[in-house]
Amino acid sequence: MTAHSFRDIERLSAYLDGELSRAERARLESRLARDAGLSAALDELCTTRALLRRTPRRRVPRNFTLTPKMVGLHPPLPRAVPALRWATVVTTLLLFLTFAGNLIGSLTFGASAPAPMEMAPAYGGVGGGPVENATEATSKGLAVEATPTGEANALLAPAPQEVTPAYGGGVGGGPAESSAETIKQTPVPGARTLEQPTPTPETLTMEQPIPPSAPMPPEERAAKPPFCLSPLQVALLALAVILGGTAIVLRWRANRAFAKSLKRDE
Amino acid sequence: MDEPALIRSAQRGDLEAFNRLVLAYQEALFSTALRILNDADLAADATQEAFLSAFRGLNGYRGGSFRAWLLRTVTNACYDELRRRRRRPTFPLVPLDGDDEEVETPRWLADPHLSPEDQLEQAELEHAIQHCLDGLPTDFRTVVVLADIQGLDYAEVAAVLRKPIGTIKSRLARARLRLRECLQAFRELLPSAFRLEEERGL
Repeated sequence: MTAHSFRDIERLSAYLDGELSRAERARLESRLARDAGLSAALDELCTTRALLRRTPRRRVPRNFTLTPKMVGLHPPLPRAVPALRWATVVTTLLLFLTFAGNLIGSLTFGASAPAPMEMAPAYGGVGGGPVENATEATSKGLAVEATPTGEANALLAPAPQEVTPAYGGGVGGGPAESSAETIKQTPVPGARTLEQPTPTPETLTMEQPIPPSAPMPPEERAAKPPFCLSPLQVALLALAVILGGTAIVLRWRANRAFAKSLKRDE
Repeated sequence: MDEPALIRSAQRGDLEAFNRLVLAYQEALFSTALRILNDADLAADATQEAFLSAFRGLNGYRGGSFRAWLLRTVTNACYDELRRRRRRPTFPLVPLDGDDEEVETPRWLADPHLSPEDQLEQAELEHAIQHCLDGLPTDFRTVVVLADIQGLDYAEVAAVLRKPIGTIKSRLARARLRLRECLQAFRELLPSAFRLEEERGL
C-alpha cells in the first residue's frame, strides 16, 4: 500500500464512499483490475472502514430532553397583567405627585408668612379695618410667641381656624362680641372701646392678657396627626393597592397553573 | 415522526416538539461527542449543551439535514470542551472496580442484552478504535467520526464542519490510512468477524 501515492489512497477512499464521478470511477476500476497492490490497498481501507462502522454504540446515560427551567421558559403572562402593572405604576406616580405638591405648597406658604397667621387670633379682628402700628403689633406678637419657624410651618394651616373661636377673633371683620366684652370688662383709663374704629396694639397688649395657649398646646399638637391624606390621595392609594394586588394574584395563578401543567406532562 | 412539523413547532417555542427531536437524535449526538472527547461525562455535558444551544438557535436552521445541523452543534460543543481542556488540563477520575483497580473502559453503559463474551468482544473493539481515534488530530478524528461512525456523506460532513468537500475527502483518506496502521497493532485482539473483506463489493 505504501507503494501507492496519497492521491491513489484518496481516490480509493472516495471510491469506497461512492464519491467519485462516473469517469473517475471507471478509470479507477480499470486500474484495480490490473494492479493487485492497489486492489489490496482497497481491501485494507475497506476493512478499516468496516471496523469503524461497527464501532459499538453506547447507550445514552440519560435522556437529554430539555426542561422549561433549562431553556428559561416562563409561564404565559395573563393579558391583563401588563395593563395592570402600568396602571399601578401610573397611579403610584400620581400619588407621589400629590404628596410632592403638598410638600412644595406647604414649604412655599410657610416660608412667606408664618407668624401673622399664628398671631391673628391674639389680637382679635385683624381684618376688621385699618390697623395702626400693625408692624409693631406683629413684632410684639412675635416676641411673645417666639415660635420656631419650623413649628410655625407645621401648624400654619389649622391655627387660625382652631384658635379663632376661642378668642373671638373675627378674622373676617365681623362683630367680635366676646373681644369687646373682654375689653369692656377691663376698664383702663385711656383705653379705647371696640366702638372705636381701630384699637391700638398698645391697648390690646396691655389690657388683654395674651392667652398662654396662643401657640397650639403640646397635647393638642400631639393628638394631631403629622399629616393627613386628602380624599384624592386615599383614592389613589387604594387604587394602586387594588391594581397591584390584582396583577400579583393573576401572575401567581398563572404560575401555579403552569407548574401544574408541567407536573402533569412529566 | 413528522420531522419538519416538529421542527416548525419547536421553532415557535414548542418545547415538547423539540424534546421529541431530542429523543430521536440524542444517541447520535452523544455517540459523536463520546468518540471525539473519549469521556462519557464530558460527552454527556457536550450533548446537553448542544441540545440547549440548538433549541435557542433553532430559528437559524434553514432547512437541509436536521441531523447534520444538530451534529454541527455537538461538534462545536466538543471543540469548546477540547479548547477548555487544553487551557485547564485535568486528570479524569477513572472508575474503580471492586478491588479498587482502575477500569480502563467504563462498562456501565454497555448493552446489558449482550452475552458476556459479546460484551467483552465489543469492549475490546471499542477500546482499540477509541485508542486509535485518540491518536488522530482533532480535525481528522471529527471527520472520521462523522463519516464512518455516524454515516454522513461528504456533503453533510462538509456542511457540519463548514469545510470544502475536497478538504473532507483528503482528511478522511489520511485519517483512514493512519487508523489502518494503528488498528494493525490490535489485529490479534479483533474478532475475525470484523475482518470484512466482503464489503469490498460495495
